[in-house]
Amino acid sequence: MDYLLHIVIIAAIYTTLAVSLDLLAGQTGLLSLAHAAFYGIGAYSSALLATALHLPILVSVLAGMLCAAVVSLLVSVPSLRLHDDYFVIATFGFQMILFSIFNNWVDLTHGPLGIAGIPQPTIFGWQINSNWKFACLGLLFACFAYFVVGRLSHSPFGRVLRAIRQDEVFARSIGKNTLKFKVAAFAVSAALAASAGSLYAHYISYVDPSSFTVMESILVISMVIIGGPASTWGPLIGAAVLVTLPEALRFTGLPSAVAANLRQVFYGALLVIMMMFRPQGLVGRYGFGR
Amino acid sequence: MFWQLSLNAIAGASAVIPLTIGCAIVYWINGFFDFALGASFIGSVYCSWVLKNGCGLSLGAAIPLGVGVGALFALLTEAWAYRPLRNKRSSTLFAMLASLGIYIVVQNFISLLFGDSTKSLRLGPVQAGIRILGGRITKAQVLCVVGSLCVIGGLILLQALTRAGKVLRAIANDATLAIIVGITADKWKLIAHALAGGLAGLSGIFMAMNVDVSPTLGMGAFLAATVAVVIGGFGSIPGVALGAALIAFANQFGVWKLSTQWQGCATFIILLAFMILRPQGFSGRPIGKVAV
Amino acid sequence: MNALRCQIVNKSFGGVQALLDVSLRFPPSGITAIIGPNGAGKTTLVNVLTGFVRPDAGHCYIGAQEITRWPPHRIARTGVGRTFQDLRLITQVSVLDNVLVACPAQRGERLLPALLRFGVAKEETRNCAAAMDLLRFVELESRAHDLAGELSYGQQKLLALACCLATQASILFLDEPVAGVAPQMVAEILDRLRAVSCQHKGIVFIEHDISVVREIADQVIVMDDGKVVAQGSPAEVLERPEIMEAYLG
Repeated sequence: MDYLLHIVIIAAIYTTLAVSLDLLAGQTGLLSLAHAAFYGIGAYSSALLATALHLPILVSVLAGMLCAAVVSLLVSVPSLRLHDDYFVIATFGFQMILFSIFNNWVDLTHGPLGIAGIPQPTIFGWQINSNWKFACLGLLFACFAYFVVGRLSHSPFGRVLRAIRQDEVFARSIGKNTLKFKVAAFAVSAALAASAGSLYAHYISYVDPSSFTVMESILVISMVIIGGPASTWGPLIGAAVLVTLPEALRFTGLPSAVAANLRQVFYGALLVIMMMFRPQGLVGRYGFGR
Repeated sequence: MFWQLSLNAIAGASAVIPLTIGCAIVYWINGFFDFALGASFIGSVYCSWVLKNGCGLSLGAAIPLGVGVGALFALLTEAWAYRPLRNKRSSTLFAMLASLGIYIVVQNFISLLFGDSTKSLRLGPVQAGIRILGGRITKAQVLCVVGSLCVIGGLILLQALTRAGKVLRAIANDATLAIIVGITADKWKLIAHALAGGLAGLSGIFMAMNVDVSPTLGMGAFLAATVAVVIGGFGSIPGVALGAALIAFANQFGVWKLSTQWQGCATFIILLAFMILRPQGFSGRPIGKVAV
Repeated sequence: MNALRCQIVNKSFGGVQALLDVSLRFPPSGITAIIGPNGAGKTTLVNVLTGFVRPDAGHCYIGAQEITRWPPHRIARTGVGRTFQDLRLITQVSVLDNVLVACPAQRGERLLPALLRFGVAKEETRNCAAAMDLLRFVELESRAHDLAGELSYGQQKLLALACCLATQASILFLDEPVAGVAPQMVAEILDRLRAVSCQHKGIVFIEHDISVVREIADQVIVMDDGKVVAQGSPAEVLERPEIMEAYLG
């Protein structure tokens, strides 16, 4: 039972990540390879604030989100003034750099050893100490992300994002400052990814750089694609499928290193197959980008 | 110290330059960054390693075969993945994501076969190297630099003089127009991919001659290459080579002036600097065309 | 709004001179046609005036305000609308949404109001009413909830006009508003253009069909090889034999 709850929690974390990436990739048509970096920023902020300063989870989550949103500007403002391809490369570079900071800035992040002993959170006196409670918290986070993204996409703001996705030139010709919209979408997306990171840090009670590699970014992209970009339930379905299916490998008794590689092969192959044969995902209508 | 770092940077740059040019060619012609070149890069190394250590071929025979495998692989990705996607009028983003998937499959497949331990194609035991300009440079590094210069020179000549160079430039400038004037773009794109794959493989082998190589190396090398393509500007082979050199120098000197933990950050900072100050890159033409 | 002017504007694309010393004035009233052979620089001129292409030399002004280096969205907000030759619409969303997105200065486009929804619903109702009025004006009211991609080509041209009007532009640049449209639709579009012109808005349109120009234009600008070769009322310009010869030949 605990195992099933564990899967629910992990799925909730990935749903949060996938929904937040969908705002950017699905709705706005911008591909970011740096989602794991922002996820990591959230996780490390929470881990540091909770272990060093003993701040309550709500504060550390908000701090992580704010931090991610601010850092996102560093990538988005210079690159989004230019062609979208610059953005892809900038996020790719940012992802690689952030991983190297997690891995090498030993004074702050403890390097490959990671940060251990992150306390279980307490929210308004409610001690979250079992998987049941974590699952509830996870669902809360996922719902929050869904709420934010849903609200935004069903507002005039989201309407402009869709206009940008399909034809940015049109959006500019009707007087929309598309740079501002893209930067805002990226910041919100980064902040929500950070919230997922905070939850992850508190749940696993330990963070190390290996959870925030570019492969993790690609995994989240795959979730968005498999579910269906810019569709309501796509991110949820994508996250559920990609979290549960590889769990089957766990029962084959393969050594964990082999299983990890096999899982990556599976993700990669899925990405190729989806792109070739069903770019609109399982439940989506549009496909990625334009 | 200064000269030693410069020599290291030159050697480092020359190992990445063929991959960079390959990446640039595909980007100019197909309009996306082809991650699968990272697979050619790493695949060639492992192929050569198997041929040398498994089949007992000499290094001289194993290397061209490895490069050939890299070229063949890139050719197949074009024929079986990118061309069908193009024919469906998919956005180039789809092709890039597919190439990412291909890269992931290959990298992990190699990990499965060989484990994550490192491999190398050294010429012999590590030697002290030749003294030059107050620094030391190994034979393998000299070989890389010479090889790389040959690649740059050869490609510039190819681009300027041969029909292939002219046709590829025409496709890069305007694929639709090139088709209208009767160029069979698909055939040339196939050739361009094979060339790019071969260059990527050569890069991998250059690198493996100097340092130990693991399956995950492709991603980092590919990042350096794409950034070099961006800062090189559109359509200029010397530009992207210069870009690769700049990144290599920045990384070497970044480690010297700052501490090791910031190595790699130099690449990103250069990218930021170019995006803010000179988006048109060295050659004066920004990547990606604004369509109005 | 004041007149839009450009002074000695030059633009070349890789050795091809698209615009050469073009100086023009477009008042926010009347109907102006720009004619000229393919490659005469008509679309480039519109792109320069609306900020999509930066001129190599020369200046653009609205009244006394220089706008040469302004980004397109800023120029659009000051009342210069435009449509495109290859229709640029959001085909994946509804006709109504296309018009709604073009409404200017929406509070709901800002992040916090969009999230917290204060005052957004009211604004949305108001914009919806305005958008439906515009759709009624271009006679697409019944198609409001269909996807924009499902409209006929002529209807899409009308929708582009409606989007342009929704931005509350005072000068509308229309790039070939009737090209490739079925004949009975042409009459309808021209009728709408006349109606727009009666609302004290200026219309500037690029056109190849001389009969259309004769029918509705108050003023004609003839371009060739990046230069303005003639300017004046259709009666005087279109009767000059050398112009017609150059244009047709």
